[in-house]
Amino acid sequence: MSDSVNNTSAEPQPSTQEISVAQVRAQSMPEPQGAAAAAKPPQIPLAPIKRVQARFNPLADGMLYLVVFLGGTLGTAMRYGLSFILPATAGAEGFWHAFHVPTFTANMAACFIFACLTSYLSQAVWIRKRVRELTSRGIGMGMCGGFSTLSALAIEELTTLQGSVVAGAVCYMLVSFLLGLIVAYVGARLGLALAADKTAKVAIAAVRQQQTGNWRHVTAGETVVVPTAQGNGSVASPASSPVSPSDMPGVPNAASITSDGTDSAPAATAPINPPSYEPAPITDEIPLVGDPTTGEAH
Amino acid sequence: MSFLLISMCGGLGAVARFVLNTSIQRWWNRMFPLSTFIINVIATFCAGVAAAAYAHQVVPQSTYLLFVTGFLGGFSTFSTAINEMVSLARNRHFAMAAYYLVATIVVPIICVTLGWIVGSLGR
Repeated sequence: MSDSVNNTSAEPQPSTQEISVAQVRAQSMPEPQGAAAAAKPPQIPLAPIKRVQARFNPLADGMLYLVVFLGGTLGTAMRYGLSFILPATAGAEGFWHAFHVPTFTANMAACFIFACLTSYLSQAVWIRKRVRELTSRGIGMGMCGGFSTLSALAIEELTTLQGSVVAGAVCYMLVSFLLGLIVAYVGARLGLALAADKTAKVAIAAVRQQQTGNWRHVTAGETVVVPTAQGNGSVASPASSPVSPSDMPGVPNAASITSDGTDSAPAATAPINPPSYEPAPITDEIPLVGDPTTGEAH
Repeated sequence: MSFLLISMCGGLGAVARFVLNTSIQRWWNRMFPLSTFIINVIATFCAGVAAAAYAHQVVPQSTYLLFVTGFLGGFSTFSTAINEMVSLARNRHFAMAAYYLVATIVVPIICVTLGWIVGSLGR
């Protein structure tokens, strides 16, 4: 009986048994060794069969073609539709005739949407990767790319220059690019702010869910602290039914080792600590349980 | 009907841009966004040729709309180029961003002029 108490008190405090995030990360991402640790590691080409698989090659992904085509169709329809709604140029003649309103509007809107979308999707880890890729290709590359245009801008420039309105042409070009840069910067900042907002909400929801005790899975890298009330209640905790070290032949008393050879009497008189409860270790091993009927291991 | 056809030509242009963009990015590993630049160069050159052909009444307006507003509009991109500049500047590659900005302003004008000259050769 005293052995079991000694064993309990000799066990380290539960706080020292926590698996830190850094420890898990260091073990899960080992340092490169051998040839891979060289300053210029050897390049291994992709196997030929993998070059035609959609996982490794976007050009072999039929879904991307469809999404880009639909996005490009929508973007072009929007740009062509704008040319009916808006006046073709800002002025009938002269300086303002160089400003082509539909092209300008389409370019600015596309810049804003593209910047906002790409910066948001780059942070949106709560969306599935495939969904993010398809959205980025479809709306970003397809729709925004089809909506904005540089060839129409260049033709408008050329016709304006042929009409010898050089100041208007230069101004239109510079305003397009400078305002586009500003709009894209604002869009990128807005997308990042929205993503940060959403990230905070997701984190708060996860913490709240954990506090209510509805969580079932423990991911690697999470620090697991089991409340002591739970440890007291469980009868089958390892501390309450230990194998006494003195029962085994040839094994010295564990308590006397930890207390550096001194007698275990002071430890016995010490107040009985609540049984420290160590959480199940997080390992990569998957327990294999054989199915007796089929023979498969699950 | 022509509206739908022009839009679908834009979709084809976007697919062509996707293929060319991905193909170029597979072997180009420098910082300069070459794929978008090459796409815009090709698009503006073709636009110059088409504009010359339309101005000399070699092709009707419907063909011009289908090719320039549809295909080349979907093929060339302004938003991607601008956003590459912004991301270069955000990653503190200011010199490269400025270089790319100047190249994207100047080179399309040269290309569209060259295309116009090529398109007017027969006249």
